[in-house]
Amino acid sequence: MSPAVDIDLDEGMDKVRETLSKYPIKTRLNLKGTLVVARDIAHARIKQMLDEGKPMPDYFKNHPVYYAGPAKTPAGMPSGSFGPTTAGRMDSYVDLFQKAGGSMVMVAKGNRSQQVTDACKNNGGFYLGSIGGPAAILAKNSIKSVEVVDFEELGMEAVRKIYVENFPAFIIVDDKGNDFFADFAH
Amino acid sequence: MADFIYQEPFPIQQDKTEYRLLTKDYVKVVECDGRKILKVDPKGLELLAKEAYSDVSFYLRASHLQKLANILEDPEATDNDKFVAYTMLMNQCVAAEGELPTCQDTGTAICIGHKGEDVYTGTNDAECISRGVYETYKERNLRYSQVVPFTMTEEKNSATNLPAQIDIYAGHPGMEYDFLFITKGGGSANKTFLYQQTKALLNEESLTKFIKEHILDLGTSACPPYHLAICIGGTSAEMCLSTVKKASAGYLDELPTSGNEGGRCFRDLEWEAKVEKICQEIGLGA
Repeated sequence: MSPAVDIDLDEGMDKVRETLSKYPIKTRLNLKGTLVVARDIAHARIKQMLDEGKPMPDYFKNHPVYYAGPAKTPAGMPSGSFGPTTAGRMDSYVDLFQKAGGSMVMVAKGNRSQQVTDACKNNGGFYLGSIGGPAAILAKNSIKSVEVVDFEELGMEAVRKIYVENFPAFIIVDDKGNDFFADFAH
Repeated sequence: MADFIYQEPFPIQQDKTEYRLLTKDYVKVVECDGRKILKVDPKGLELLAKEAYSDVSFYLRASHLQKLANILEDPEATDNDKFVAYTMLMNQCVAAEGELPTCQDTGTAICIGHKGEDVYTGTNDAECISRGVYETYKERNLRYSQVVPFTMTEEKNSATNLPAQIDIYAGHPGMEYDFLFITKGGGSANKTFLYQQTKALLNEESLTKFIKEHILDLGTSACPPYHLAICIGGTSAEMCLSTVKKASAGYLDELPTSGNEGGRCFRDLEWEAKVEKICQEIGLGA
C-alpha cells in the first residue's frame, strides 16, 4: 500500500489548502493537528448568528471542521468514541459558511450534494472523507485531547476543539470541482 | 369463498442465535388455577435489558466480523477498501475491551418482545426495560443521543438516552418471553425508505431497475459493510417498515423461502442473490 500524505493542520488554513490542492481526489491522508468539532445544532446556531449580522467565530475560520459528536469519555482517557457523522446533513450550510471564511476544510463521512462540490470549487474548499465507523480506535489512537469551546449546553453537540495524530482521511471533494462519489450519483 | 386459514405472519423455522446464560435467578414456575405460570421478577427484565444494551454497544457478532475479514482476502478490493476493513476490525478489538463503544452513535434503544400468555411479571414491563436502558447508558461510556421536543420546533437532549422504543406483543400460548434488542443510530435509521408503488413494478425488468436506482439513493454515508434489507408488500406501510428493520437485524433469516395461501412472509433467495450482484456492480458499501 502506498504511504499516506502527511497533512499538518496547524500550519494555517491557507497552507493546508495549498498542500491539499496538489493532490487528486481519493488520495489517502494522515492528519495531524487541531480540528474544531461541530454538528447539526451548532451549525444551525452559527447560521442564526450570521443571519443576525454577527461574525463567523474564529475557531471556524482557523481550523478544519470535523462533523461529529462523541460518546462519554472513559476515566483516564483523552476521548470517548468519536467517529464522524454523516456529512450530508450539513450541506446547506457550506456555501454560506465558506463565504464567511469558515468550513474551508471539512472532515466527515459519506457522499455530499452538488452544492458542496460547487461551493468548494468557488470558494477554494475541500471535503475530506474519514472512515465511517471506527469510533473506538480513533479515540484510542488518534485523538489526543478534547476541549469544549462553545455551546456547552448542547451536550454531545457542543463545539469542541480536538488535537489529532495519525487521523486517517481521503480527499473526496477538491477545490477544482471534482467529487470522488460523483460516479455513484444518478 | 375459500376456507378459513389462520397463518402466523412470520413463521420463523428455527432460532440459530447464539445465546449466553446471564443468570438462573429472577425466574420461577408457579401454579395458578391448575396451570403452570412462569413468574419473572421485574429485576430480571431490568438486568436483561441492561446487559443486552451493553453487549450490543461493545461487541459485534462473529458473522459480521467475518464479512469484514473477507474484504481483506477479496482480490477485487482496492488498497483503500482493505485499509478501511482492517481499521474496522482493529476498532472492534478496541471496543471489546469495554471502555470505548464500537461507534460514537450508541443509538436509540429499541426492544421488541413476545410474551407468552403464561408469563407473569406483575409490573409494567416497558418501564423495567427502560430502567435497564437508563442504567447502561449511565454506567458505560455511551452517548446520550435522544432529543425530546417541547414545541413543534424546539427540542433538547433528554440526557438519559430515553425514551426507548419498546414494543411488546402478547397473546400467544406458552411460557416463553423472547426479546430482540436493537440500538439504531440516526444515520442508519435515516436510510429507511418507503416507496408506495403499484402492480406495474412487479415484473423482473421493472423491479431490477427500481431496486438499482434506489440502492443508489442510499449513498455512501453508512459504515461498511452494508446490510441491505428490502421488503415488498405486507398488510400496511408500517408493517412493511418494521419488517425491514427486523430483516436488517437478521431476525427473519430463518423464514421459509416460499409464499403460501395464508400469506406468510418469506425470503426470496433468488432475488437476494440478484440484489447482492447489483450491489457488487454498483460498488457501494465496500
